[in-house]
Amino acid sequence: MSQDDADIDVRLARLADATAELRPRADFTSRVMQRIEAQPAGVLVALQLPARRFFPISMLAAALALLWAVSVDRQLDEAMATSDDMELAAW
Amino acid sequence: MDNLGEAVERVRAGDTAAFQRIVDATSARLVRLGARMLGNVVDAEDVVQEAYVKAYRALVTGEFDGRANVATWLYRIVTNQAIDAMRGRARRPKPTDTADETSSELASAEQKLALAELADWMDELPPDQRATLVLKAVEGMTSPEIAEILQCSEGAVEQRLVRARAALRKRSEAP
Repeated sequence: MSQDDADIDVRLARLADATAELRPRADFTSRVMQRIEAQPAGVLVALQLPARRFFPISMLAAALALLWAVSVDRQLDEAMATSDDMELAAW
Repeated sequence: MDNLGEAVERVRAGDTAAFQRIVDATSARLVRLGARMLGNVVDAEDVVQEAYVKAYRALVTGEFDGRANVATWLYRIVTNQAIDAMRGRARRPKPTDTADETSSELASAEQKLALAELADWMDELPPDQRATLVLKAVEGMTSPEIAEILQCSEGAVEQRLVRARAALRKRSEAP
């Protein structure tokens, strides 16, 4: 280890000692617990994360459903047009 | 940080109040870690508070399966939050001294000077190198422990330490 590295270690050790007694404020735990208690109930949290994970799949499913709906609508239009034509021809 | 397994199990079973035992047992070390990485106690408290919220959600949702050591897992969340905060800070202009004023009740003059010295000295290190050096040389952790916290190989830890020290050496050689 070079002298520079040793100097770095000495300085880091001094700063570690000087900050060894740092503590959060006295009300820190109560502030954290307020945040925790404000969280949605366990079941809701439990549902939220999986829901987020499934979001891309849901978006894909929604897009496929839309495409399917458009194609069915088109088929229905064509079927009705054919049926109208046949009705007209028969008349 | 003593054995927190029982508190973890109670939180997972829906006992929110049991989370306080985890906070009581870990907050001093975690806030100290955050302050050493970020340079002041106010930012460290914010980071650790967010980390606790994340940890609570992970417990409730079962994302944390309880097999890993709770203390290591909390260290990991706080370190990642602190790295994110350092990155965010690098993108924003430096704030004024408001954090210093607010933290006057939190730390003695000597502690504030030490934190400021640490932050200033490591200011130009990339956040991951800074976090690695603090965990190793200030928190006194071993390379395998750091590798577990940062979820990287021991080789990567050693490499970050070498780079961090080289950057600090270069800085001290600069006129």
